[in-house]
This record gives sequence, structure tokens and C-alpha cells, in this order.
Amino acid sequence: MTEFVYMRAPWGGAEVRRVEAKPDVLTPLMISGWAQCEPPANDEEVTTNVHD
Amino acid sequence: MSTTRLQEVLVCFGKKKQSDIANAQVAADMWRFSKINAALANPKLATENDAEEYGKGHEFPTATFKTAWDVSATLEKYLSAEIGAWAVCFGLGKVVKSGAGPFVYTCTPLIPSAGDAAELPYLSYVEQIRPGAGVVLDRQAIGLAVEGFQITVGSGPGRANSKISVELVGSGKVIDSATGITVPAATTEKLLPSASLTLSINGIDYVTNKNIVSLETGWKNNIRMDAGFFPGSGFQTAGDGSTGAIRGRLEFGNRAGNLKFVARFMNGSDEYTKLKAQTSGTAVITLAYDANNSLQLTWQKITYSVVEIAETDQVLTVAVECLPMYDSSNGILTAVGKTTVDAICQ
Repeated sequence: MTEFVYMRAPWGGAEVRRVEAKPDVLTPLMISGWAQCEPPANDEEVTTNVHD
Repeated sequence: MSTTRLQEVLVCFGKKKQSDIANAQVAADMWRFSKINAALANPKLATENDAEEYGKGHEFPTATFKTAWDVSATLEKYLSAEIGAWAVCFGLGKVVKSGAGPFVYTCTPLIPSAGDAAELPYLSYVEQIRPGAGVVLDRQAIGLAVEGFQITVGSGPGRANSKISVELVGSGKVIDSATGITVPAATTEKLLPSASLTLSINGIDYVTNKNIVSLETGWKNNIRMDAGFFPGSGFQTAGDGSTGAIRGRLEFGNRAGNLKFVARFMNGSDEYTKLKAQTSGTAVITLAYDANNSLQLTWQKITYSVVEIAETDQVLTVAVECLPMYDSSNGILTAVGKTTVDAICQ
């Protein structure tokens, strides 16, 4: 089963992405400053991009 | 008079991270491990005196002053999924946890230029010998960070052929008696034996080829210890300037990874060719207990810096030192620890 995590943009940015919890997906985000966050509230926009 | 054997020492330390450098952890946030090195985490007090001062009538010291505290520890262990995941989480600093059991901890080094912190997660470290009425030792070092970790994998069936050494440095803050910590039950570990290794370096699968003899890889944070003592960094006893300064931060310095390996040298071995051409590629090292317990380190871009033809047990081998480099897309190192233990470094 594919696992997903939520990642928040660097520098405290507002953007939250739901991404696959795979090293090749997470690594480029992590080294760019994206950090894991809690699932956002319902009124917060989430970008789902499993290929980023 | 009974003696105290060092095998009695109980060691537990932060599974979770401290809320900040100065806040001691409670037992519920720690886990207990055995270790294979005897060294204890001895707090050291640096003092100074007034020998050089004028107005005393002589050159001899008449008073001493507590300057600063230091504490460090080294954990040497047979490599397990639990300690491996813990070491990469605390040693690299950036962690994404996924899964609902097993839990997968994907870790990369912190990148301050991308907005990450320059401080690693902090933890507490407790040593006890005969806690209770007959206590011999009961102390807790607070605010430690992982200075580095080193994994060694060798040939042979025993546990000693897959080990990890983790070096910890601390703020200097110590509770040196009556910690109030009840050391938790020993952690059940899933060992990651040498025989489970899969290894691909620079396009060569050294395990399938049955060529690998040994390897060593690790990470060093080169924490700026002196920079921890800044104006306002604090004292061993808060608000008491006579108790000696402690560090208020532990920032990593110029970090570096390392990877070297020894393989059998055979017809067609291309390490020297790749050295001359400075061919770069990834290095992927995986050790596993089962599908739910493993550790994988991926050096995103390495080249060979030293290639020496040598011998191991009278078999021609090649000893290779790699230079881990930063890849613009994937950074330098991704470590993935998979374990059934939740909440590591959370």
C-alpha cells in the first residue's frame, strides 16, 4: 500500500503537499527545505504531486 | 567490600528528541540498550584559578573558579535496525516518518541554506549502576547531539562483523545524582548482520559478484563546540554563576561523509579505471533483518579518491576510498531506517 506524508514548503511557507513516502520522492523535497507537517486543516489547500 | 562490575551499567537515552537543549527527558521518552564499549559518559569540569592575578602578594593560587562543563559519550554496538534508525535520525537531523508499523524514517542532512536549522535534535543520556538504595552511579547528561556515526561491515558470521559506533557530544548540563529516572526495559533489537548486505557502488553490484570483503561508511557533523558558549548560554545551575557555564547550542560545522570498501580484485575490475576517469555514481548500502527491519544508506554521488591494490588473506584485493559529493537534485546522503519502533526522533 502506498504511504503518503504531508510536506510544508521551506521558510515557513504556506504550501502543503501530499506526497508519496518514497526516498526518491522525499529526498529532493527534503534537501530543498520542505519539512514534514501534520495533515492540514480542511480549509487549507493541498497539492498532491507524487512525481515532484 | 563488593566491587562493581562495569557490566552492571544501565544505559538509556532519548528515543524521542528533547524539546530544547536544556530540557531533560523523562524515562517515557527514552529507551535502553546494551553496548560493547566500556567507556562511560564522564562529565568534565574545567576550572581556573587566580594564580596570575595581582594584589595577592604571591604567585600562588588562592581560589578556584568553575569555568565550564563538558560531557561526551561513545556508543559502540552491534548494528540493529533500531540503533541504525536512531543514529541516522539524530545524526542527520532531517526526518520524515511514514508508515503505521513498521515505521520508515527517511533522513537527510539539514540544509540551512534551504531554511533548515543549524542545530541537530537533542537527547538526554542516562547511566546508572545499582540504582536505588545501594546506588553506585546515577546521572543524566542533558542536551547531547550526535557528532557522528560510523558503520563497519566485515566478512564473517559473527555479530562483530556488523557494528555501529555513535559519538555524542553535549551541552555540559548534567544531573549527577538522583536523576529520578527508572531505566526502561531493554530494547529488543533486530540485528542487521553482515550476511544480509546488498551493495551497489558506482554501477557495480559487489554482493552479486561475491567480491566485497569489507566496507566502512559514516557521517561526521564536526559540531562547533566552542560556539556553544555564547553570552547568555547558561550555567550548570540556572541563575547561579558560580556553577560553571554550559553550552546553549550545538551547531554542526563543516560536515562530511565517508565511504571506503575492500573488494576482491579480479579480471575486469574497473575501480582504477573509474578513479582515472573520475566516474561518479551512487552507492547504495542495505542491511536487513527482515522486511520490516532494515537500514539503507544512499550516497547520491561518489567518486573514487584512492584506489590501492592490496591483499587480504593472500587474496588480491582493491581498497577504495570514495569521496561523497553533493548532487544538485538529491543532496549527499539519504538514509532510510525501517523498524517496528515508533516515535524515533519525534
